[in-house]
Amino acid sequence: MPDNSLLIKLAAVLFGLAGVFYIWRVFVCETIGRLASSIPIIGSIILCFGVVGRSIEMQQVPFTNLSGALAFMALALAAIYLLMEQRRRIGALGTFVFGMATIVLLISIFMPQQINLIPLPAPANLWGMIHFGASLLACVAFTLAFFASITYMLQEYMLKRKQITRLQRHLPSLDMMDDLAYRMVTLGFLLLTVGIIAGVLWVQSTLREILISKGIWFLITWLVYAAYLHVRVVRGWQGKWSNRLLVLGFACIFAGFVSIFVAYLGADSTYFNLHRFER
Amino acid sequence: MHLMVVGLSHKTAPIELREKLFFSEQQLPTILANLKDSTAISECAILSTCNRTEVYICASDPGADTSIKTFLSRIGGFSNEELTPKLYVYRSYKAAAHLFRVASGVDSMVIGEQQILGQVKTAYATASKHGASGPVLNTLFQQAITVGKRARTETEIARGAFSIGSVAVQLARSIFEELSERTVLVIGAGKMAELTITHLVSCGVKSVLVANRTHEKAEHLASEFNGQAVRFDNLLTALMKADIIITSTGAPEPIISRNLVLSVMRARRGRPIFFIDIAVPRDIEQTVGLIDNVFAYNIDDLQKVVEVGEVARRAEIAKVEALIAEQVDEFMRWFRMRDVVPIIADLQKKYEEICDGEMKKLRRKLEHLSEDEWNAIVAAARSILRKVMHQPLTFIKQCAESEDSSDRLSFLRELFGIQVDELKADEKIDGS
Repeated sequence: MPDNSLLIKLAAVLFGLAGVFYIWRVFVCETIGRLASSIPIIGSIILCFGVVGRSIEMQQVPFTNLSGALAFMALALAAIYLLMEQRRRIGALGTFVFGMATIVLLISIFMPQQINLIPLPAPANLWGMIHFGASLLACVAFTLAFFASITYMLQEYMLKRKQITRLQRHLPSLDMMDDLAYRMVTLGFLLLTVGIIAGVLWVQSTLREILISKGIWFLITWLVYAAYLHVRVVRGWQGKWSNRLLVLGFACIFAGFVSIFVAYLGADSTYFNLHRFER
Repeated sequence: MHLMVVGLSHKTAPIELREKLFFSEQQLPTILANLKDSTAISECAILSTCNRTEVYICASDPGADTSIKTFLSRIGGFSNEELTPKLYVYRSYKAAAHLFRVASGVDSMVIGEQQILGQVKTAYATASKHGASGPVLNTLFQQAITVGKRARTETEIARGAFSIGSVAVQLARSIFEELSERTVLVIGAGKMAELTITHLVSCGVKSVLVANRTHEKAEHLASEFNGQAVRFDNLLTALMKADIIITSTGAPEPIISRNLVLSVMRARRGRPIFFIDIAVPRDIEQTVGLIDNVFAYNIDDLQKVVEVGEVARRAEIAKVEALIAEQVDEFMRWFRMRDVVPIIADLQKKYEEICDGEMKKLRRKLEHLSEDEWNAIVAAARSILRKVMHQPLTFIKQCAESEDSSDRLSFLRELFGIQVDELKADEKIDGS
């Protein structure tokens, strides 16, 4: 039985390398060895083993605790991206995705393992599981939409300024990024809706006090993406406004996560009690 | 067999001359057939672009280039004296190296440009499809395509190498993912506009609209691209349909104003639009480019993109040349061995037959010998044969490495009394 946390650490290293390889492809050399280009895939498989292995070990869903939830998100981010990359010309996006996945994994590795999101035993908290699973995946989809919008804005900026450089040529097309963001938001929006409903059903039983603070953030997030879908679908606007909304939406998610961290780390007295933490 | 190329390019001949010898893809099959019928060549392929026309041939007659020159003069309507100084002829090693250089983009006007590789591919496909090329030219062209690809991936020769047309395509691709679903509107039916649409159409654009002050001209240009001519009065409707707009009118004032584009953008619900203004003076107002989701490039902008990196690409030529030299050596080894292999085989076969015949006769006379004794004699005979043949065979192989191999090889055929069917066939053609 391999050490699951070691697998996760190894995946973090590989994701870091993958990020470097995507940058390398944009700025230095397009043709890159087969081994190098399979690094992100190998990393994802290893991470998958690590996350699944750990949840088997703990007999819980992978996102029972905060650290596991982050590893789960990094895995979902990488997996969804790699699946999309099979069918579309989105190479340069990988730089953001694997950069982010590496950071998320590092936080997951260095944060205390014992902060539980769902009070044990979990099976009793079916709504809680659905709430966290759907919301976390929604955040992953929104993150990808955010990266697509950043790439869009970068490409747009370079085209407007007529800076036709190597970087410009490696950025995916505006249409592709717009389409990708739209699909990701649609997916994320559905998941978040499910997540919020499940959350409401779940809160009636436990943890009411903590959820009040971050629940607000996710409601705002939901509204922002609803606005995006309105602008994109009903008005048909692509570009400036839809991208601004995507950035705003991501900012809300970020704020939501900060509030989760504050809430859970605050609630977990061990974190602020250094003596006990060290032990 | 002699491999050679006869051709002219932007380096040797002016555009007026090149134009007359430009063959479109539709014309090529007939030209190739004519060429093969009227001259004594066994293989031919023609590479014809707006910058060059080159005839690659493989013939048994070393003077075949003269008939090609005559053929080209006749087609272009020149006198031989007029055309010959503009033509270059390269043979064997140099011919192969030339095609590799062309395919790598080293010989192009814009060094390292991508389009030429596609044109080499098309030339090869056309020649092989219509049975004009054979094993030699097929191998040569396949290797040229490989070299072209390697040059572009292994060196920086193609880094940022673009013609105006390919810059337009590249920019269009940065905005729209699928060009096949896009509509191009051309306003003004000039040569440059035509060239740019050719690029876009070859990269997948299917729907072409042409608007021109004289409607006949628009109809003519539209018919070339299976497009649709638009009346100048209906320009606004056409603008609303189009995603890519190329303007090249001779109008003294801009014809596309900011207000016009604003109303077009409202109708398009803000979907991106790409203007390419190749007219001088400008057809599109400066401020149009400031509107959201409008990308407007004029000829100077495109020219700047074309020029960037020219110096850096020149520095890469040496690397590409090294790559070419390596590949040409490989090709020439194959090419010469191709001539030599049948000679060696024939020679071996002939002498082994002689040996076997004599041994049979001898066996009848020496029937009293035991099997072991007889085997020893056979082995000795074979060994003598091998030793006697060693020097000639080594010499033949060496011949293959030298420049004037075919003269030596035909001499060797005579010396050893071996004739090859192919040679006889060629002689028949020569005689007729």
